[in-house]
Amino acid sequence: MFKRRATVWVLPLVLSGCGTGRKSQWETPQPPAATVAQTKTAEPANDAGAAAENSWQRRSSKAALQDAVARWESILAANPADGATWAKISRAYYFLADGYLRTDPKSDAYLDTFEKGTGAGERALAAISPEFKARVVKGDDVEDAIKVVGPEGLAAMYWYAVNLSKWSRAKGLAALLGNKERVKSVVSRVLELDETFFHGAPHRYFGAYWALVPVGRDLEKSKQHFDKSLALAPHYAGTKVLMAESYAVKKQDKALFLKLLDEVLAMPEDAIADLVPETRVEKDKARELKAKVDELF
Amino acid sequence: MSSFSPKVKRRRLLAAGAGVGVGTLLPRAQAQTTFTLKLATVAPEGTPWAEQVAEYSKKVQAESNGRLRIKAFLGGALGDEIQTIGECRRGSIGMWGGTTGSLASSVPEISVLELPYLFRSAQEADHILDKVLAEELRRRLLARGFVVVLWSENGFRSFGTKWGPIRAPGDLQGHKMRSQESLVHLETYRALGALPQPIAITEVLPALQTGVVDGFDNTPLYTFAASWHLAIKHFTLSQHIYQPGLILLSKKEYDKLPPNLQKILTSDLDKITMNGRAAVREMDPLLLQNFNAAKIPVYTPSAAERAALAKATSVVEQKLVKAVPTVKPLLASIKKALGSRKG
Repeated sequence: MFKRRATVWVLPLVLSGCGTGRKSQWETPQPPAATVAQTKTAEPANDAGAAAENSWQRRSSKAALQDAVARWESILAANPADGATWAKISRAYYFLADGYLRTDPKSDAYLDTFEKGTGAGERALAAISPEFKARVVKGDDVEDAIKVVGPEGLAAMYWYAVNLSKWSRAKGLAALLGNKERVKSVVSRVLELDETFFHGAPHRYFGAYWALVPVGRDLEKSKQHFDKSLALAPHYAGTKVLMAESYAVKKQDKALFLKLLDEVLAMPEDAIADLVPETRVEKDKARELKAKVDELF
Repeated sequence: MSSFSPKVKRRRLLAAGAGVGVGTLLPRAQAQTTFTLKLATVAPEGTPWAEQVAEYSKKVQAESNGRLRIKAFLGGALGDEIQTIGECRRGSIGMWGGTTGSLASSVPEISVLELPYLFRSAQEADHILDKVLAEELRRRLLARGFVVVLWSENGFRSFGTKWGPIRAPGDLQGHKMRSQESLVHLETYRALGALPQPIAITEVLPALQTGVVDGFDNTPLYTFAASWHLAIKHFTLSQHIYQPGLILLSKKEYDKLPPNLQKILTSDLDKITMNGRAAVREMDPLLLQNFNAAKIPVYTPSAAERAALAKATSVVEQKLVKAVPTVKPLLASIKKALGSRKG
């Protein structure tokens, strides 16, 4: 009577640490491919590091940002176990996608850039915590293994998680659902180790998480996390933009939405001296969101 | 409170009303009026259902030259499905998107579509919903205060369990399973020897984690959306219940609209309907990969095992007919149509 079906055990993948929809790079500490720009010709590591930092400081220019990535990649060509540099690249890719490519979230470039940021974060984690790497290679879940990573891995964990989160969202619903617990567990570890990391970043993440989670939304928790993040870093524009976009929209609190965005627009660009490029991007996002107010409320 | 937010530009209304009677004013004012309909759904953002609602909303707004706007409240922002379907019927919410499982609380005979192992494929369900029962269901829903906009789908429901795969009816014997609070769902579990526990969606994960229940049934998509996969060891692709979804209009609110806008809301929706169903169906293979990544084995019962499960649950049909006699003609039509397709 019924359509014939094969009896199949679909076995779990034995590839340890393989996230949903992409192949993880825990075991690939080889030099990076020249992904953003041509790898620079060899130069002493100190000079290359200083030049990369110089380009990074000028990241309000897309070309300078790409140059910073290329220079860091050339450093890694000589020392692929340099976890701190992998973490810098992970952050740089995140900023490249979020700052310069976000207006076309369906583009391959947007997706690929977050993929590269995620891969760099994985390599950073593997380099910084050999114990973590050993566990995931053995087959432990990242969600469990992440608990062995200490404060030295904060940047690697955070930039890995947020790149993976944005990549998953861009990739599609299946990837988003498949990776959300992993992202949550990694940011939870950051929160546990240092709630002040990157201007209250873990609280900022959970503010958005509890507003946007598909099932089990908790706007009270969302607000508590956003409030905490703002208390820790009142001048970080990204918190206000994200709170407007997630919490205020879900709460349908138009007045709060506009207040938060207006505060961002009124902020001086150097509200946080070393984050001028990020603040500029957040101001752009605030303008983009304000233009959609009638659509959102 | 009406779900409509009719807005008439004051200057235009005054101009229209100046020196004329109400009888003259109303049609002219109505021609200037814009309407906003609230649409309630538990479908989360980013899902194929949310995209379908967005596509529909865009079409309606474009065809009405901006006079009709649909404001979608996703992710249960206006309440759960059973609560909001009641509000839609009363007219305090203009539109509703949800599953037939919840609609059964207002329209009990709709449960017939969820009888276990009724459909062998989504295409069979499409045939019944689009060809065989389309008019009859439209009429019945209208009588209960709803205007059908389009039929979508939640998909086939399967078992997630903490102890092992479901190969035979006896495998569920004595296990506490989270169930939707609907006669068909409850009786399906009872027919398999399980102990159904109606638990609110938001309470299911803690119930699984603390042992209040040993498993559940739902689609792979919902299983991951709600993170229920975190608390199970096996997923059996039993596909025992097909669950349609649909978008409805409150008849009370619909009746307040001018005929041309009514037509826009319910016409030329084949493309949006088919796009939505295709998007839901395309998700399944990707979601099965998610189980692999989460190290949860997925078991697909053999044809013989499906037949045994279907036989064990065939009693649910009689129980539904006894409880809701008005399903009889619907069931007869379905069986006749499916019989002729098989033949």
